[in-house]
Amino acid sequence: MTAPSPLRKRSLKGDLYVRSPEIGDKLRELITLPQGDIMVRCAVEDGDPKYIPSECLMYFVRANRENTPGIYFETIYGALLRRVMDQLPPEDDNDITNSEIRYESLGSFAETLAADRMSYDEGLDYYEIRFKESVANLRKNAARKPNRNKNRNRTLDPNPEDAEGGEFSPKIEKAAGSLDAENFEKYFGSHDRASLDKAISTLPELQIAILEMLKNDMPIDSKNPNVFTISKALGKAEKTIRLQRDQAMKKLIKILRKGEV
Amino acid sequence: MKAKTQQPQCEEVLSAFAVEPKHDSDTLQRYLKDYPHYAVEIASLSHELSRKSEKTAFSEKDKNAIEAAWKRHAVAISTCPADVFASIPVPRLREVARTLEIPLQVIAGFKEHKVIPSTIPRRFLARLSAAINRTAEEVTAALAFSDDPISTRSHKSDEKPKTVPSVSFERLLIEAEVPPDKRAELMAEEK
Repeated sequence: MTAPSPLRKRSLKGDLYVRSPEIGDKLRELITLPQGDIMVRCAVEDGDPKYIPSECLMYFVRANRENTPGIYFETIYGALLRRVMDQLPPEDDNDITNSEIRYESLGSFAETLAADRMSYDEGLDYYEIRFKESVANLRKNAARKPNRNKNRNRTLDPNPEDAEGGEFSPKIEKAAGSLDAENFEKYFGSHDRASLDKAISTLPELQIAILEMLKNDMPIDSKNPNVFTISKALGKAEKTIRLQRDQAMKKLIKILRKGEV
Repeated sequence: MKAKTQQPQCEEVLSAFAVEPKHDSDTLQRYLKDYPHYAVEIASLSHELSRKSEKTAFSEKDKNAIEAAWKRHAVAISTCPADVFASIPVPRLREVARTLEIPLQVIAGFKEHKVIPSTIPRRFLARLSAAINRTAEEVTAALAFSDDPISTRSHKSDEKPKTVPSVSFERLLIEAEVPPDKRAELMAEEK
């Protein structure tokens, strides 16, 4: 084997996907190595020149589809699954939802990988194009399941013993009501990014979408008909968007203040 | 309507969005405009993509989950033969059809595991196996597993596995409108 087999998945425009030049070059270099070297490199951490990019690891596991199991395959398979796990929410005793997402995503990935061996699954080509991002899509897919936030809500609902008694102070109401594209950064820019993102991810999907659009400088509404607004993107009235945004903000402020994330 | 049937599935759009070379405001807005039906899913995936992963040490439960996945995979490898046709690209299958002087439809029947292995004459099986660089045993083993749900499992969990009806090799030739004299030649056990 001198050249890696091409991908088969086509983009939405109909063109065949190709690996990025960096991944393509790395793969051509790696496939000339003996299996023993690949196994040794599976233990190498990111940042080291001998690190195998996850996209390449994905290729090696899939390319081995017709061989019998052995120490080589077990090593690369295990390394690949650890790479998937690195991108999944960590286990959290206080948040059952995160644990559910973690193990369901891993299970779904492993199942698809097993089926791919029997019948080539073009959907797995995405992992050879951009691995981390495809795992993000996988975990988002698991997070989107109906009733997924049932357990999460239980821990994040306003605590009746809270000083605010489940009500929001006028200050929070005001802060929530004035959030828009211009001052999103002002409110949240200085906050610990990981905590903020984690808190946002616990919101209903519509609210996550609205905050993401605000973060990307999209106005809620505009008098100029040529401006692409959140209201247009979601096909919802401006008032509805503002209401959802306010609810999201109140919940976020509450979560971040209580340090629940 | 034409436009409606060409609308890609949400899953396709999200996967394509995930592997975009750049995730900035322009990319997000382009997808929101092109696929308004999936606006909520696209924008919330955009948030997910912007998150930094929290790499933590693997727990015992993590290690067990990986170990269990490997065991299932290893069992699948040992008990289920590889689908020898699945990994052959269509242009190569056309070549094989030309070499064997049969319509592509017959090869497709093999690829779709429609053929009952015991009905394939040994001579043809040997020629076919040689054409795809396989042994006759590998080809029959792969075909014999046509009813295994793993072989037809879809990427989407809500899609039912398709049941493929089995036909005899001769029936497949008839359906592909192979002329009777050619059919007789292909069915012959010895030359």
